[in-house]
Amino acid sequence: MNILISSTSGEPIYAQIVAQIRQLILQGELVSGTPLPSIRQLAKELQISVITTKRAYEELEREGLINSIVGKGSFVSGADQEFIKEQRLRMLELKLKEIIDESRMLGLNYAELTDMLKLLYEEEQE
Amino acid sequence: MSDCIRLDHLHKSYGHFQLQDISLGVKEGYITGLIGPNGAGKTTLIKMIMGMVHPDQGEIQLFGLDHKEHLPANKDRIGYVSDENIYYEQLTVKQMKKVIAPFYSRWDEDTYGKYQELFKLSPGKKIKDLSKGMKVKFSLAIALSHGADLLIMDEPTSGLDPVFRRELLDLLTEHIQDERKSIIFSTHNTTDLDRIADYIVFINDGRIVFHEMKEALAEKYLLVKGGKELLDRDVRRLFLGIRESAHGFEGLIQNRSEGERYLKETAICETPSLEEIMYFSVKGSDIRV
Amino acid sequence: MYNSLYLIRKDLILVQKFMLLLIPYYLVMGYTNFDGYTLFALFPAMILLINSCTLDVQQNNQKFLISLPVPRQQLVLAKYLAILPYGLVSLVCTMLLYLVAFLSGRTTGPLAWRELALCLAAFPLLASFYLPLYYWLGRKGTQVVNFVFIMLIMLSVSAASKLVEWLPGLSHWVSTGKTDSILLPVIAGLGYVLVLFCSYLISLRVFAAKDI
Repeated sequence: MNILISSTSGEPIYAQIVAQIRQLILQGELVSGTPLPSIRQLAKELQISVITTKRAYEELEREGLINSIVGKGSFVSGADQEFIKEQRLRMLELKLKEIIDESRMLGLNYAELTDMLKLLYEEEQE
Repeated sequence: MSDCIRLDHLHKSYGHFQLQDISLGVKEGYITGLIGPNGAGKTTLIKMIMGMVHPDQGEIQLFGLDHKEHLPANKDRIGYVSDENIYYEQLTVKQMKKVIAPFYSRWDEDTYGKYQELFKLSPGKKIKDLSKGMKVKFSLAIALSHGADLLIMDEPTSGLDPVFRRELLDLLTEHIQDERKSIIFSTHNTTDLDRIADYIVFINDGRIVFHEMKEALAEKYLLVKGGKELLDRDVRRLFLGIRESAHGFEGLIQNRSEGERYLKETAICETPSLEEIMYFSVKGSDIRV
Repeated sequence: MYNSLYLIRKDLILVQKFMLLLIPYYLVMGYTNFDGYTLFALFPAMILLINSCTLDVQQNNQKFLISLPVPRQQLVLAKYLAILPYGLVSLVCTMLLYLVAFLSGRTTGPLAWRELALCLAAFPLLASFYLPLYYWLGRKGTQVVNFVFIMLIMLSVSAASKLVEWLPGLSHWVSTGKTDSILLPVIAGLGYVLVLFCSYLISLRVFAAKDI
């Protein structure tokens, strides 16, 4: 499991951990039931504070992505595929929104944007 | 979650210097950083915890036990790293270790051997011939070799090179893998150890300015940079400390949400670093004096 | 209790190098001034005590001592108990000196053990004045106290012989081993113990209240 922390990005460290673990789970790299390192272990490995790591895990738990069992540690939750797919779709939507914002700033209209998307999509398929 | 150190309304006058009404609970299982400028009272505070300096007023509890009554037993559970060399300079590393070891009920020779090797401490070398960094390493080796539940370190990183400072982070985070072990360290160099600190105690001029979870600081404080025309009287009142230059100002606001509400549109709003919080707080208190 | 022993061991480790210098010096000095050799018995013990005390305050070593899981009372007690080994060193040194002098024909008489005992007994008494001052004056004052006490030891040789002259009972005991009354030595002995004990209490009180 790779987690890379940037101390200059301005994004809070706990949020970076959440984003990266979420990414790994949604991409299917961390499958249901996979044990995560203990809070203290991860804090040690990343050389960050225990509370920061704890906060990240709590956030992931709230999102339903991991489960914590007292005395045993944290595991990637057994959320069904449907749920994970939903989460991934939500992420995709977010990215699309970013693209829409960006294209607006560049002055592209809807038709131009879909043309571009179509073109790229077909290119990928070949 | 219990406190491994409890300070209750401590006072100490020291000639021209005063520590005033220090109340503090240091959480068990976590790393607490004691920050503040030189002469703020960090060392005096640590000396009181170590029983070296007697408070004029107030109570100290360690591990839930009254400090006066249980001082020796409490110190048996403390690994102490002083800000200066406290060992006998004319003795060798080996002799000094031999002097220290029997006093600790949980002294572990193997652990000491491990650190001696890790830190490349030559047993035959005299303490006085060790470099400043090596003296700190020796001190650390001792502190980590008797199963201490609490590590107390006074400015441990001064004299250490950047490489070892990083290694120290590993040693300390390793130490608190056991959830019952705690660390408190002091530093005036905030970029040092604060990345692993869970709690920050900021002390200035003999008083505690704040004691916060480091995680919460970012949500509490706001660093604002902008043009000087923004600084009318009402806006000024928001700031804890301001630094003005010919090209604009930079200042710290303690109430983040309020600050953002007023200034988000017109100025640059950032999350301050610990150093910035320290700088502007000290500066602000100077102005008000 | 073990702590006090470890503390004494610490002192002995610290002074061991110094001892190696001190003993030959003492033997040479004692041999050349052999007339009052028993009076010199005070010298090694007192110097060792002063040395070990000075080493404790030289750098920040008192801070080290207080960082140890040992009550302050034991730190003080150990300094008083260390009087015994230092006295022993003195005794051995003096016997050695006598042996060398006897074998080399410098003296033919028996060991003046009563004089020696008296001198050795003077050491704890001197220490009981030294230690409270040492704890009271701390790092800076120690140098002055040391100087005064070293002068005292130098003077003590003549002072002690005067003292013996002043107290006829004492000089009688030294020369014959007989006493006129039982009461006097008992009172002297009790006074002696009282002085030591008070000294210890004063040192403890002073040191316990100190900020290091």
